Amino acid sequence: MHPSEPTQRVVVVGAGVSGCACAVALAEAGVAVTLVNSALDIVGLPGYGPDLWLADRDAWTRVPQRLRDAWERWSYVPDDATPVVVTDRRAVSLETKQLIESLPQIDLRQGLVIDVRPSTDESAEVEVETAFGDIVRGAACVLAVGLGLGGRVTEGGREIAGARYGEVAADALYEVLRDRGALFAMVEREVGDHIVGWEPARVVGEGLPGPGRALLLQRAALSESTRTGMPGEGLVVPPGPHEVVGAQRLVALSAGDGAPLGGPSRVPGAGIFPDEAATGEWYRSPGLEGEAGARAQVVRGAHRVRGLVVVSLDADGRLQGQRRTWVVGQAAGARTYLDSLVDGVRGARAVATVLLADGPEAATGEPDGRDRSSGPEGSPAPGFPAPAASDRPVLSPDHGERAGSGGRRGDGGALDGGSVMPEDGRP
Amino acid sequence: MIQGSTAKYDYDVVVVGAGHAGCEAGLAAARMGRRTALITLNVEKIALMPCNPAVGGVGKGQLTREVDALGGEQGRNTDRAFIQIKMLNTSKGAAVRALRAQADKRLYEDWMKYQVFHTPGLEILQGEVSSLDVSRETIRGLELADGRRLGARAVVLATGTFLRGKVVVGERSYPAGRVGELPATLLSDSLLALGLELGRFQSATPARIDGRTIDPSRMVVQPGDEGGLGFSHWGTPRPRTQVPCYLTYTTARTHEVVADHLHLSPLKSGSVKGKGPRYCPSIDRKIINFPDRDRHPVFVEPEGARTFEMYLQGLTTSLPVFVQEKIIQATPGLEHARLVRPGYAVEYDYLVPQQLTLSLEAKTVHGLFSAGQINGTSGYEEAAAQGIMAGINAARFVTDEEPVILRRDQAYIGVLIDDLVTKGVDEPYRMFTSRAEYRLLLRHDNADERLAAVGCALGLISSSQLAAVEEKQKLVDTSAEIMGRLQVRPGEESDQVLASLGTAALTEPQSAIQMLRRPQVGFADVLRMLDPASRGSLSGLPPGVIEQLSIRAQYDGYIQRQTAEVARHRATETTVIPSGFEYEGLEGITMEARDKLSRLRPGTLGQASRIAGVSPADVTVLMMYLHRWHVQAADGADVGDA
Repeated sequence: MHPSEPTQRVVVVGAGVSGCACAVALAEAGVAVTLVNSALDIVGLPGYGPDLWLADRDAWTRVPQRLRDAWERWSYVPDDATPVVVTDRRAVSLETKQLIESLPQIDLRQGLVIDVRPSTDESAEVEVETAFGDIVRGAACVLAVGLGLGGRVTEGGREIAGARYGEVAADALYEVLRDRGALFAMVEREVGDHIVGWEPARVVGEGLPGPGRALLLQRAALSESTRTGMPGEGLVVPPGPHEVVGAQRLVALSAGDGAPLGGPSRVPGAGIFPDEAATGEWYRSPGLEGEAGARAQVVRGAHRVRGLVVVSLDADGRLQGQRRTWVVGQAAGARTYLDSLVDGVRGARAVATVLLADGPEAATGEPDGRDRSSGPEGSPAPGFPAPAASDRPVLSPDHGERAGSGGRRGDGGALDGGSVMPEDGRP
Repeated sequence: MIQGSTAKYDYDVVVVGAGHAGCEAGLAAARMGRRTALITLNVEKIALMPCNPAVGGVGKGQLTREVDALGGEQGRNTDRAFIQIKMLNTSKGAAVRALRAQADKRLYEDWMKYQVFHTPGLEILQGEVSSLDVSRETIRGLELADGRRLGARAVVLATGTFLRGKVVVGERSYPAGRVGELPATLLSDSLLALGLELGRFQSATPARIDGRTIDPSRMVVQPGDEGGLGFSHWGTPRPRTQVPCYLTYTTARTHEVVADHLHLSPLKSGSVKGKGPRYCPSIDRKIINFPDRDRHPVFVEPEGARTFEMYLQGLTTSLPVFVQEKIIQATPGLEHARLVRPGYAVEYDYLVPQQLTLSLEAKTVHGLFSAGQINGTSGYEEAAAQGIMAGINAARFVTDEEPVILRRDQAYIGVLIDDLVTKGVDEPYRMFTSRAEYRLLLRHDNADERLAAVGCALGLISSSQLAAVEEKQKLVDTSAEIMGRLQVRPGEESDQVLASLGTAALTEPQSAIQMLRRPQVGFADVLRMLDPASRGSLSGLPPGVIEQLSIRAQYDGYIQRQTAEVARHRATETTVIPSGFEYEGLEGITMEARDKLSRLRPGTLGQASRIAGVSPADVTVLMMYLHRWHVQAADGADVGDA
């Protein structure tokens, strides 16, 4: 039996990169979590292409090991110094969901969150409401909604509401937060396109051994591992229903490591990377259009995603004026996948620390029976890596440049989202 | 091509939507050599199974087998991805036997994605179609919301539940094609502007629960069947360990909870306006419609090998989430079940299918085809069946070839499409064996015999595949003939065998095929009763041949009767009604029939006969007029020639 009382539970809104990291970190520390996402078909997906995502190995070590494994298995990890690129985002997503499902502390719940507010029920501190009127209560809430707050996707001059391509935005949640006084800055990111029908002229990393061997063979092998913790022999996962769906070549063609791409539009750190074994698609970083030759066929077009970052947060990442709501990941200014992962873990630590300080009744039940109720206020919750100064993402001036609208955190340029959001075009 | 073409892309066939209909349509058109684009709102969701990750079932399984026999993908894809498979109705007649498989939904997507991305001539494009480009009643292309224009000589619409989709629970709703996914908001207007009529349907999916919180000891384990079963005619599925499903039943308590909260049901409150499927009813509807039934079955089915999520077949509802939890937890084995995904309803636009011809082409827009839920059906199998036909016919339209139309006596696909375009739909259409007049001919086991030649002629299956089917048929014929000649004689040996099987001893010699007619007697038993010298010619037959021999032995009389019936009806069935045929002023036909005929414009006399309100007497009179019309037309032609 896993703990289910709202007094012991953290509600994490958003099951993307930061939300999953936060949930896993909380769960590993024994904290019960309800992880809510608008659709559960895709959980833990690195949503914006397989960009170079890992340069800071120190920060990386603060991500829970099993989550790191899920990423590294599907990434090209050449050596300790070279940046890492994900080579099968879908596989990362599949494995992350599997990891989350293997942790008894985490409940998954499907729902498009439209409100987070102090709980009307005495047993809980906060409650989250979904578009279907489902209420999830907890002792704390972590918003990990990516660029979903007022998210807009622009492709070829047409703008539609959306957190990521094709996904419903969290506009209602944005309005609620705005009305309660939260401040926002707009950020924008460019997402490259996906192409097929292209053969790389120069290949980096083919045939390298190690955790980066992104073959679906591994996906198949992993599926043969037996799930535990399920009642009844019938639910033990049998070996072998998975097969290899194509074999992804282990290739990272990158201008980032100094290899020329051969064109004038060379962009440092950019590249053309394999992105999904099943489809055989390659992701082309923004700015590399024209690098793949005429035979390349664009499957998913390049587009821009913009959304609002919450800037009215305290030093702990807590939403100002909301005692028990934290914001992590892109919604708090994280830029890269690594930022998001680390920030999710940092948020988990911050939340757990506060919950512990609140005394025994708010302390989490630990499956192994460890008593964790004695942590003094302010001391970090056990089970977390030591915090690092760099963990909190800080909005760089770059945010403002990209958005063309100021919005650097703490410089007075933070915008009330209401002034930058169009009033029309909401679902 | 588009006039004053600004199109960067020109295609022969463009398929809109990459679900179960769209993938088949795209694959068929591309495999037939047409330059084809498959447009999806989101590449991440290609071939998603948004409801039950199951394929097949009685009626539906036949459709999947037929799609496979024609060279489609659904059967093969299911074989790659299933985690359980079983043959249904093994104790009943051959006509109602069918396979049903439970798929790993993610793996199903992966494999289908692999197929569509690796089929030459098929390009996948992510985007939303905003409008269709039609001139002189012919499709020319379409425009995407981002401004791209695509030239197309034929278009297949396979938009599923996305046209102005809205998801609903209780009194709450938001615009979405499925939860969390943006709907297609623009295309409906374009269809209306073309004068096409749209209707509104709803469909619903039950809650998913956490498999770790169920109590299997309180439910009946439903294992799969061993023995290498698979949907595809073209290969044997890799062996695997199967995952069981569980059976439980609702209780009086479940029914109480539903009854107490019915006022909150979107069906009652009016927040869902579209009609839902009668044959896949919500638990709310079941309890309203069958107040005397004290329990309804609930199948608890795994959604994959790598997820704990389980599907609750039989507990579909879009009641508020807290009620859903109560309903689930009132059911034995699910007392502690934890809800993961609330069930919900989705409401969407469909294209009134009487506006289509039997080739699935819109009657008023040449080259515009549609398939799947947009035509008012429900189910992955119904979608795939229409998808492959729309893909085939779009491909043939491009090259000015006659459409391929499967007859009602040839395939469930023929029954499905004829029902849709002739009778229309007043609720999402689902296939049943009872919809077919000749279900003994349209069996699960003989889809290859019926359709492989069609698939081969289209280039969708290879000639060696067809040769294998013909080889098998030949082997069945010769073996049946041999078995008709070989005699089993009364005597110690046969007495012993028959006694052990619990059936009467022989009093006089009978042919081997007659022996096989006895339900207790299997093929191997017959062999044992034959003298060793004659056995040889029948040994080593493949299981598929033995199956056909048994069916032939048991059902030969019925099959022949149905075949004769088909031949009798063929003349009526295939009599073409010319497209300009004038019903006004025809005497001897009721006003109602005249109205319906001139409005629906059936393509054949057979179709006319199935329109509600057109009586057999009307058909007889119409046949006379048609005969006269054809004679006059022929005379006219003679005059013209001279």
